[in-house]
Amino acid sequence: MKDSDHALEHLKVIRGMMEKATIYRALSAPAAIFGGLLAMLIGFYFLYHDQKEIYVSGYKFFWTWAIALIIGDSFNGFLLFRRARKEGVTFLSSGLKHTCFACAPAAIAGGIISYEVVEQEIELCALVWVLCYGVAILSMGGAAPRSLRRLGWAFLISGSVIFLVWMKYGPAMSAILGINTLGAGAVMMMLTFGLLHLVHGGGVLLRKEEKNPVS
Amino acid sequence: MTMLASRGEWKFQELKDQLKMSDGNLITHLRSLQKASYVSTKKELKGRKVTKYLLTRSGEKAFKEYLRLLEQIVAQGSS
Repeated sequence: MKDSDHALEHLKVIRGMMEKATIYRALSAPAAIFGGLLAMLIGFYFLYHDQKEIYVSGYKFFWTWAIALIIGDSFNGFLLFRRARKEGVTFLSSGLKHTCFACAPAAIAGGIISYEVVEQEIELCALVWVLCYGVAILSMGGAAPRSLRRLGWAFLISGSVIFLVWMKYGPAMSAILGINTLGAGAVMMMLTFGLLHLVHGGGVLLRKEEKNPVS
Repeated sequence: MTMLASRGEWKFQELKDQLKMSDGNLITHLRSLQKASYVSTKKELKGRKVTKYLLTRSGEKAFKEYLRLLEQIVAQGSS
């Protein structure tokens, strides 16, 4: 092995270690499961209203999910704060700041666009949230653990697929499924924010148990 | 050095977990780095005494120089 090969190998090891050391778990598994369950609950609530043909305004849909986001984020923040205290590190770490700044552009854009479209098209509002949420997670880049990046891709891919299918076959699918715009928005939210968060949280917990089996 | 360069302060246990080294082995490395003035310690009392390790200015400089040297060797090898 040449000196340059040795040096390159060394640089790769250093890079790998630095990446590992700067990874920040922005979404804890229990928070993901809590968020998933909350999304399922709210989704069912709106689906019920849709099936019973009870009128729900677009803004009510928007603000209900916005409050759910605040509750979910607060719970996640509480868990991150508790973990930081337990590990004796600062809560407002560079990892947290990086995460917030990285997610902000997609969150702001998603918030503005969805607020503008929700009164006319609830499904479009839901799809904007799904796509922007995926982009926000992926914006964290290498600072996010692999599982979280996978969640970001899952949101982006499922959001894109649903978007393309819905734009083309939306009315036909509504008729087949027997749902209106509110029901469609609720189902989209349940399939993405509900199901994907539950799968992500469950997967992380299972892997943790595999790594640290209770003897 | 890499771990210490990646973020501010590291507790002994954190370094041990990340590097998967024994107590004795790690403390020997840290003492050598302290002797060379590349690493300093910070003691905190949080219920029990916690020692945190961080890179000094000269440690940071030495680490960067080492990276530069490695890059130079790689560049020379590929030219």
